[in-house]
Amino acid sequence: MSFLCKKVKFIENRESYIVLISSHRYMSGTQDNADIWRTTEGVNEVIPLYDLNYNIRAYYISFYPMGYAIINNNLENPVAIEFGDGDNGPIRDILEEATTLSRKAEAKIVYLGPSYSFDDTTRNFSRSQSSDSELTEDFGLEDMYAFLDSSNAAEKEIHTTARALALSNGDQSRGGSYDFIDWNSMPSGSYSSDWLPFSGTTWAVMSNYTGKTNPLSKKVVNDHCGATAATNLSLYFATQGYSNLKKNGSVNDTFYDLHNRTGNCPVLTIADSVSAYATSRGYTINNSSVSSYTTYKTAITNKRPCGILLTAAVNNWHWVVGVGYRQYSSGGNYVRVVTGWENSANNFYLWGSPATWSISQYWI
Amino acid sequence: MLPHIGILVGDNIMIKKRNYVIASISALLFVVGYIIIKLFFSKVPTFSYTADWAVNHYFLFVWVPAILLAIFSLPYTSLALTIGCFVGIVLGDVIGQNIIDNKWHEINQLINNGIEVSAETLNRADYHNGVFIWLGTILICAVIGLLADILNKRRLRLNRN
Repeated sequence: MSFLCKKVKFIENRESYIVLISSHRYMSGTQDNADIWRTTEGVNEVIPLYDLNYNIRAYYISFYPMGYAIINNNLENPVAIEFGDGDNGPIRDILEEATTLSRKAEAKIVYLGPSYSFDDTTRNFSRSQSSDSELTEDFGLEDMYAFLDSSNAAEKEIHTTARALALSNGDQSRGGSYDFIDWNSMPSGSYSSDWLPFSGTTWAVMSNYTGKTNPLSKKVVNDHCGATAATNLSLYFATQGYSNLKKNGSVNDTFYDLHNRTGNCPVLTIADSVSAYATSRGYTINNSSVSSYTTYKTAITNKRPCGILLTAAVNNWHWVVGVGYRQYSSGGNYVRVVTGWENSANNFYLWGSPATWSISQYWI
Repeated sequence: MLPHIGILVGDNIMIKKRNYVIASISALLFVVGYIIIKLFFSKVPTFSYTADWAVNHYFLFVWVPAILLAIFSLPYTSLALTIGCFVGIVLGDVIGQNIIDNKWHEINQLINNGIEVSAETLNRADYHNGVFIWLGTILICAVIGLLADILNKRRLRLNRN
């Protein structure tokens, strides 16, 4: 989600931002676990697509180095009409020709479906010279437009949720029953600190998998903080030279393998799953329990990440990965964690609040 | 005296037989329930959480006390544990999903009103309480069953006197 979050912040145009949100939802493995999104690095362009009545019917968004999506221009039904890891040929041809002729800004692309679009300002494609009624009949536009204009409450709710998540990431402030504190909100004062060399680690984020079907176990992923923490432990070691712990070089594949072992939460221990996964990848990951803040600090000093099970209430448990600490001279002992709720290691919690059920340090 | 003793012994034998029957019924229900949930229920989206979790964790071995309690003359508690286990699974999945839906409804209303929601709130909205509801149901049923057994024993004692 981090690329999405960055791009959300820089897209001024409301429509472009909504298109980006919908694109992410469809391209990040929702439909068939084919995660096209992770191959995208940035946005090339967002261009409106018109219907025969010159209403904006949809938006075309293209990514570099690869990928595109066409998103319905209807917040009541913000579905992806099409998407893929390539491009829409007819639209790309129009844009390239318009660019060649230095008239890209004037191009007005009429979209009739996945197989055909034309530039209405030139109408120099043979089919575009047909009458509107002929085009409507040939391309089944009545049925298509009826669907695109309809309301889809489920789709709208999913889109709103995704939009909320995109907006919230990176802007986390103190609050919630776990009282995680982001870096910028930490108390002032002198302190000692240390953290693991996790630079370059892409962390697994729970929201990327919620509700999806694990292709290995065929089970729906839900309440998967344990699997996410186990994944993040493996991903950390993968950046320390044990690269095979990142299965197929993929965060998703690593997660699904570990989720297949841990299952959905509640799980009281992830050590066995982490150990078994490491063995399957050709490594041995050891673990031992951590009982005090001093021992935790020693673990961090020894470059050992820690799996931490926090509990804020009888029915409120959460697995995180401890990657550092900050100890204030005034007495506040903080643990730096990867919460699993965002691709970040810049959150802290005060030792003892929330309560800790268990901490284990891991090493190879 | 003899007929009285004979009746008492006869009663005990009857009760023991009944207890073993109840223990067998409990065991059978757990086995059949395990098979049905494993094969069918856990693939149904509504039951893809609690039912699946319970089965994967062998009902947290609730069937052990259910069977033993029947053998040791607490038949109502045994039955209550057994029934509570399966009722709890259904309640856990249905109520748990309901809670999630309601949380997201509230969140969407906040967002549509321009109110910012923390990432923790958004992520925890998806947390499923099904397992805790399941355990709570078992506990409540166990208490009810235990009360029923206590009252039943008291009634039997009064009848003998």
